[in-house]
This record gives sequence, structure tokens and C-alpha cells, in this order.
Amino acid sequence: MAGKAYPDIENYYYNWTALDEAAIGAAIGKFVMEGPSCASGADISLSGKTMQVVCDKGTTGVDGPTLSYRFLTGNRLMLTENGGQSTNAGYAALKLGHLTFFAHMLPDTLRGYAVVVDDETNVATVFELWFAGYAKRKREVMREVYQGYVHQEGKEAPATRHAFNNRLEGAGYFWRQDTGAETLEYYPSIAYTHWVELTRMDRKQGYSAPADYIEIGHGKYIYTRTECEFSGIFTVYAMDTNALRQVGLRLGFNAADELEFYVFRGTGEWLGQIAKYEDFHVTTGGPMLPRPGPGQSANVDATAKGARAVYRPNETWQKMTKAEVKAAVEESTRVFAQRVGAGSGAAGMAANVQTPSERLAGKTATIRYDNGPVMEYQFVSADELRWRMNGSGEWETSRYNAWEAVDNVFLFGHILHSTEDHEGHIVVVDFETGKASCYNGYLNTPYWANEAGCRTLFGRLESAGVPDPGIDRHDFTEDMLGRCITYSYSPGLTSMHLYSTPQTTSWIIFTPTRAAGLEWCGSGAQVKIRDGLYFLYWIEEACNGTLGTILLNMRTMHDAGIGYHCGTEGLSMSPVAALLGHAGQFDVAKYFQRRPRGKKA
Amino acid sequence: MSKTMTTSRRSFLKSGAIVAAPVVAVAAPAVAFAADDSKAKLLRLEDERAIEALGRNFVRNFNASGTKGTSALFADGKAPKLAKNASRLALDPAAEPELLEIAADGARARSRYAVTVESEHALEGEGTLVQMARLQGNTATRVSEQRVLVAEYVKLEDRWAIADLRLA
Repeated sequence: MAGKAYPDIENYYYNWTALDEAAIGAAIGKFVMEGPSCASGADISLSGKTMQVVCDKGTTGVDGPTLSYRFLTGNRLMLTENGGQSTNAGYAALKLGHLTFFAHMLPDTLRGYAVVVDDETNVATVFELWFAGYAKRKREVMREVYQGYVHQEGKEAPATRHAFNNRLEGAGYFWRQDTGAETLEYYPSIAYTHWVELTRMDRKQGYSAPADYIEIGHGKYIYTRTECEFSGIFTVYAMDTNALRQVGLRLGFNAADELEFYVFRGTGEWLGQIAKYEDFHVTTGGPMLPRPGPGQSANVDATAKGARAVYRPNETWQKMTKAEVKAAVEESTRVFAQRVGAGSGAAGMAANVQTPSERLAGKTATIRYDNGPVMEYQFVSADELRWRMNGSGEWETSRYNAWEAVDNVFLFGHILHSTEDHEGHIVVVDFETGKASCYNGYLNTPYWANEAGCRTLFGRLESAGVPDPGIDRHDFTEDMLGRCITYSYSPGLTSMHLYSTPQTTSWIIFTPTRAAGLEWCGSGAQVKIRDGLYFLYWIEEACNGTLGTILLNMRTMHDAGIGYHCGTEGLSMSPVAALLGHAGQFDVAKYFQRRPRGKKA
Repeated sequence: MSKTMTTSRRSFLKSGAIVAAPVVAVAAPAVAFAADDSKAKLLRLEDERAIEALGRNFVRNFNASGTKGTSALFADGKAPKLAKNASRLALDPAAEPELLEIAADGARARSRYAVTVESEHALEGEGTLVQMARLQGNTATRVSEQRVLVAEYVKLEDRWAIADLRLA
């Protein structure tokens, strides 16, 4: 259903129209002879020239085309593909130093090309672009990438090519297009990218998508992004990372189902560079070819034109109704089902969980949350507590686990079994300052009932010997903003968090050679407990709905965490922990000034 | 009193050289004695080489075909399971065994080799991270650790065979 071009709700939840070939073709037909628009005026220096681009095989091994161009006056070109029939189309070109960039669609088709030529070396990169190549989302732009060269009469073909590699991995840039669109663009992977819309959307949420990174040389690169799982819009640009300039194309349908088909110039700012984890001499890059597995069909063909690894969680995760959630929770609710800790033999994300603390046993406490409930606790033992809300009703018994992250600061979690939305409280209490914070997870959220929601509660802790903090509270922080932390859960299972906005966590999975690979992201929050101690949450949105929480200690580079998840197997609260590494921090704080801070309940 | 002789290739060769030197320098009775001793040393050297070859064959066969591929090297034709998920063993080709003992009667022996054991652990679970890891080809994790391959041998009629073998 078409709405605003850039929706107010998160892209995960937008009901993207299933455009068909006819609708896509009609939209292209309106603009194909005009070519892409350009807010700052296209370059016309190709007029009157001819160019034959000879392509090698594509990234998937498909034969590359030979494209013979004749650039007419104005914005028209004639193209002959592989010596076939000549076709007229509108185009737009831009120059970036000695790079020439041009793009066009082809009449009566759903496809076109974007081409980057290095005029000094005559080496070229060609992107063949088409719609309706992915049957489940025909609005998504597909691309195949060919390396090649511009044929020079009487000269040998150049031996060099532009190359996929990892040289941009770990970099970040701010870009401002001549359209006024501003984005933060993180390149934290060899095959994925993460970006934040600063002007077209509310800059709360960043998104992740498959990308290409191709080196031209001398600080010049080509980048592409396809907004898979969302609008399907394709962006490609050539950039000069020293001059901080870009020229590129944006092609695809926005949320209003309007075709965006324009070339742009842009200027940038460097945001920094985080660590890479491959062996020092390794420069291997993408693209990552698809493999059978969750998110892809078993018969996926890595040799099909345009094929590459795309994480499509929204297609594969099992969404549940409120009634299904209720039945599943009644059938099975597991809260710290197994007491794990050092030496317990726990695997997966619990292998590095430290032994739960027994120091809350015997204590009583009351937590008064601002604009939230009053929670009374009796910690009966190391694993069992009793709670009562707002001073009324029956005391309920719940299983809990607690971890003491630093002396007198505890993380604990429990399920509130009697609540309609199967709530969980994941709480940090500081017995030295009297402050308490809670990530209040709940189910039955508006889009999918088994996807967790989370309220952030701040309050004060009352217990024997604990001082009254007065009006002091823990608070949202920007200390983590732009940071990248690696989380090694167990051998072979290491991810990296990128805190791309104050309310976004993106996670990137490392390949066996420690290149950063597939990526996804969700909303979250970052709260400061003490210097170097942060309480974070993220929701694995449109993915599996898990609420992940961690109490991260930057001084020990260890964390204690609790996951809250509901699926067909029931509701669970489980420990997670990892050995941490600090990959670096992007300098992005200034892009988030003059914004509302956090989202309190 | 120990009934075994502890040696290694280097110490054996060293003592062999010391014993060999008098062979050409002493009188006949001594030569006769030395000859007997040399024969024993030679036999021991042959045993030692056979045992070392057996160890190398075990590692080669294990890496090629897993535990089952090593059965023929065992006295009872049955290979014990080495370690859960162990997929590959690596001996340092230049390294000597930590220990190679041949019993005084020459019928039994034991050895200890430093070995690198690679284990393969399938990524389990259905969490997001695991799904993503599998999707990009991380189907299993290989872990390397330094262990000691402890073996006991028995001399059969025509050859040495492994009587028992384990990782310590």
C-alpha cells in the first residue's frame, strides 16, 4: 500500500506494495527516454562520442556483454548489445575527476545499465540492472557486476581491472547529495552496508542491506546498495575518498511507489575507520555468493545472474498471532532453564556466561520506576524470587538469575507470568547509588505478536543500606554511539555490534576467515550505569523478535546478558555472554544533536 | 626396578654411536660381545622405527578415513574413538616423540607424541546469529588444541600393532 515516499514507521513494518511487471514497466516507460534526472545538471561531455565497453564474465560467471554506445546530442544515446539491434534511450552522465559515470534504462524492458569508466586507464565497471528478477519482490532491483574495459582501436585490452576487495571494510562516511538527501553510510562488512537516513527519515533507525565494494585505485571506489527486504531501491556511486566527492545513481520505487531514477553528485565527510579482523595480508572482498540455508531456498543457484548472499529474515521467521503466542507460552515457558556458568559446558551464546551470583539471596528490595510500576522483591534464594506490583495483589514466585557485573551492581531478570503480554523485567540495580533501570520486555506488539517490544524504565532502588538517589537516575547515553564491539560467544560464533544511532544496534557476522559478512539490525537503547558500564538492548526486528539485553563492562570487556524470546517453542528467558573486543568508534555524535533523547516509558 | 628402557631416537643414536666406536678398537672377545650388543641394538632400532612408522600410519589413516580407517593397525582390529568431533591430527614432522619405551622383553612398547588435534563442531541452534553464520558458510567451527597422543603397542608374530591409544 503506497503512502509517504519515506514512511514514518520503521521500514520493517511498512507494507511494501507488491509491484508487478506491468506497473514497473509503466513507471520506467515514463522516464526511459528522458533518462535519469539530475538536481545539479548532468555532464554532456560524452555528446558526439562513441564507446565500446567490453565486459568480462560477471560475478556469478555469466558472460558479460559488449556494449557499443553512441552518445547523441542532449541526453540521448544509442546502444547496441553484443552486436544486436540498436536501441535509443535517455541517459545522464557525471564526471568525477578522471572517472565518467553514466546510467540509463532501455525502452520496453525492465532493465538498464550503470557504467563507471576510468578515462585514464580505460578500465570500466558495468552494472546491469533489472527489476522483477526476484520473483517474491519484483520491485527489488537486481544487479550483475562486470569488470571490463573500453576498447581502443589498435590497442591491446588493458590487463588491469577494477576489483572487489575489502579495502573499504570498516570505513564510514557522511554523504550529502545534491538532492539534499543526507545519509550516514557505514561499510562494516565486505558484503553488506548499514546506513542512516538523516533527512528523508527521522534518523532514529539505521538499516542494513547487501552491498558491493569495488576498488578503482588511488582512493577511488565504487559502492552499491540494494535495499532488499525494504523498498528494493538500488544505489550505486563512484567516490573519491580523498576529495570526499561522489557521483552516482538512485533507481527504484520508494514507499509511495514513485520511481526514483536520478543521478547525483555528493560531498562527504569521513567518519573514521574501525578494525578489520582478517589476516594482515588478506584483501579478499565480496561479493558473497548465496548458499543454501535459512533465508534462502535449498535450490538457490549461485551461478544465476545477479545471485549473491542476501539475508532475508522477514521471509522466513515464523510470525504468530496473539492467540498462538498465548498457547505457546502456556505450553512452555522456560526461565533460565539450566543454571549455566563457568564450567557448565553451556554452548552457543551461553558458553561465556559467568556463574550467576548468589548475593541477592536473602535481600528484599523495592524499585519505584518513574511513570512506571512499583516492584517489590523478596529474593528467596539464588534462583527464586517473589514479586508484587504496585503494592497490591498476590505475591508471585518466579525463577530468576543474577550476575554482579561490578561490585554491588547486579543484572537480573524474571518473567511476570500473570501479565497479559507475558512481560519480562530485565533489571540493573546499583546498591551503592540506589539507581535502578529496567528493560521491560513484552509480547503482543502491533505487527507480530511474538516479536518483543521493550519499555525502558528508570527508577530508584529501596533496600537496606542503600542510599536515596533523589532525582538522579541512570540515563540514555551517547558514549556507545558509533562504537563497534565484537562479541565472541563461542568458537565460530562471533558477531560485531555497530551502534549506528542512539537507538539502533546492527550486528555483523564474521566469516571463517574473519571477514565481516552478513548484517542485520534492529531498534534499541543505550543506557549508562556507571563509567564504562552500559546497559543496552536491541530487538531482532522482522527477524526472530528476540529482545537482547546486555550489561557491558568496557573495563573487563565482558558482558552479562539476558535474552527474552517467544517462538512456536514457547517463551524463554536465557543467559547470553561473550568475550568482547573494541573494534573502534565512528565519529557521528554531531549528526544526532538537536534530537529527542531516548524513549522513556 | 623398571622393566622398560626409555629412549628417544636422539638418545638412542647417541648411545649407539658410543657403543659402535669400540667395535673397531677392541680385541676379539670384546668384539664378539660388542657384536651381540650391536645386534640387540639393531633389533631395538628396527622395533623403534616400526613403532614410529605405526604412529605415523595411524595419523595418516585417521586423517584420510577417520577412526575406521585405522582399525587394521590395532592388535584386535578395533580402533577406539579418539575424541568427540576430532577431525584431524597433526604431528610436527621434525619433532621426536616425548617418550618411546620398549619393554625389556621387546614384546610391548608405549609412546607419547605431542599432537595438534583439530575438532569440528557443527553450529547448533536456530538463533539469528547462527542462521546468518550458516548462510554465509560457517556450518562448523574448527578448534585446534595441543594434546598428547598416548599409545601402547604389542609385538605380534610378524609386526607391531597398537594395543591401546588415547588422547591425553
